[in-house]
Amino acid sequence: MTHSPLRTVTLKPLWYGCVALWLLAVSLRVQAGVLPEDRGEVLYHSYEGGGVTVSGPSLLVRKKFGESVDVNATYDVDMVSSASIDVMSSASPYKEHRKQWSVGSEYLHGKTTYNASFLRSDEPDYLSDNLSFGISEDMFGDLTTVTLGFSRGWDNVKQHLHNKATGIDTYDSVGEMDRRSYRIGLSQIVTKKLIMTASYESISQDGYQQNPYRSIRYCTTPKNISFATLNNCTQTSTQAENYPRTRSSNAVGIDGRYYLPYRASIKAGYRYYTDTWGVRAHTGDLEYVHPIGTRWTLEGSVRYYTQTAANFYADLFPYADAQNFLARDKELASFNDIAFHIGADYRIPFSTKRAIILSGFYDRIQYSYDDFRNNLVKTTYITQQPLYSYGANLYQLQFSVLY
Amino acid sequence: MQRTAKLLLTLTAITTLAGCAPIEPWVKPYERAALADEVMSGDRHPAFAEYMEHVHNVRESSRGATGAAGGGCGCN
Repeated sequence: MTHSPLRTVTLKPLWYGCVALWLLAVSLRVQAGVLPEDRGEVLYHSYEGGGVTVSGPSLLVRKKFGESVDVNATYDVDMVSSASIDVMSSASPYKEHRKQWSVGSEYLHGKTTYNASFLRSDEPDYLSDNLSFGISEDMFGDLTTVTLGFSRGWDNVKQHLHNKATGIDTYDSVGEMDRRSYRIGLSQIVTKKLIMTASYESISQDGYQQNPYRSIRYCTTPKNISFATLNNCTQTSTQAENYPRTRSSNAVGIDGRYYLPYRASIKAGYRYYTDTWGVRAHTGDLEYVHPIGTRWTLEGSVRYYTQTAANFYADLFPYADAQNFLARDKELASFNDIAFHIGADYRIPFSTKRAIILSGFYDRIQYSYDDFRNNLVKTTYITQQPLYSYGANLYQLQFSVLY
Repeated sequence: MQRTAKLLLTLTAITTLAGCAPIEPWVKPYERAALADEVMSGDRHPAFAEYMEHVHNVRESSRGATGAAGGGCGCN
C-alpha cells in the first residue's frame, strides 16, 4: 500500500485541524441527551449472481464512554470469485480479497451531536480512503433534527499485470481520484405515529474514473458503418474505455415510517438521482416490520430501481474513437432492478437493555438491462445478441449483542 | 391582482405572527411511545444496512441521499 506525495500533503493539515477541533469540542463537554446504545454485531454475508460470488464476515462495535462520547468501528472482508460477463469478455476468472475498516466517534453537546469517521477500503488493485464529518441538531421540542455532513475521499486505482515469463504479479497505479460529498438532512415527527425524513446529497469526483481492465467494442465489418446502421454489424474489435475526469451528482430522498394501529410499522421511501454524465435514476422502496410476541420480529421489503444510460455509453460503437468519451460499463447502461427482502430476528433478553439477537436475512435481486447485450452469445449480427439479465441471491446470518 | 395582494398580505401576517410565539411541540414527549418502539427504528441492523448499501452502490450508478441521520423523536 503506497500513498503518493500529493495525497499525503493534502490529508495532513485537514486531519490535524479536525483532531484539534475534536479535542476542543470534548474539552467543552456538558451533560445532555443520549447516544445510541452499545452494540456488537457479527454478520456473515454471501452474494451469488451474474457469475460472481462474494462472501465474508462483517463486524461492528459501538461503545459509549460516559454519556457524551461514543466510538464505533467496523471491519469487513469480501472474498470475491469473479467470472462475470465483463471478466469473461476480456480476461480470465479471478479471485481476490477486499478488506474494509472504519473507525468513528460521536460527541453529544446539549442537543447537538458531532461525528467524525475514517474509512479505508483496500483491494490489491484499488485503495480508497474516506474522511467524514457531520453535525446534527435537535430543535423545536425535539420534533425536528437537522443534519449537515461533509466527506472527502481519495482513491488510488491500480492495474494488475501478470508477467508469464517470470510469474511475477505487479500492481501499478494508473490514476487517482478525489471525491467530495456535501449532505443535508431533515428528520421530522409529523404525528404521534409518523416520522418523515428528507435528505439531499451533492457529490463531486475528479480524476481517473474508468476501469483499466474494461473495454468498449466497435464494429469492424462492414466498414464505414454509422450509429444508424449498427444492425448490419457482424464483427467487432475492442478499444479501452475513456471516461470524463469530472462527475458531479445530486440526489434527493424522502421517506416516511408509520406505526400501524396494531404493533407493526410500514415505511415508504423514494430517491431521485441525476448527474453530469446524463444518468437519471429513481429508487422506490416499501418495508414492513412485524413483531410476534416478545422474542420474534419479522420483516419484509421490496425495492425498485431504474436508471437511464450515461451520455457516452453504448453497447456497440460504429468505429474506433467514435466519440471523445467511450463506455461499455453495464453500471452506466439503462437498466432496472427489483429486490425482495425477508428477515427474522430472535431476541433473548437479559435485562431491559441487554440482549442477544440472532437474525437471518434473504434477498433476491433481479437485474434487467435495456441496452447491454450478452456478447458471449454468438449470432450473425451483433445486435441480435440477447439483452443481458441475471438474478442474485443473498444470504446473511447475524449475531448481535446489546450491552 | 387584488386576490394576489390579499393572499400575500395573509401569508405575511401568518408568518410574522408565527414568529411572535415559540413553536409548541404538537407531539409531547409523553405521546411518543409509538415512535420510540423498536419497530419504528431505522437503525435495527446497522451492519446489514451498511452491507446492503455497498451491494447496491457497486452495481448501480446512483449514490447518496440514502437517509438523514438521527431519529429526531427524542425517545431515548
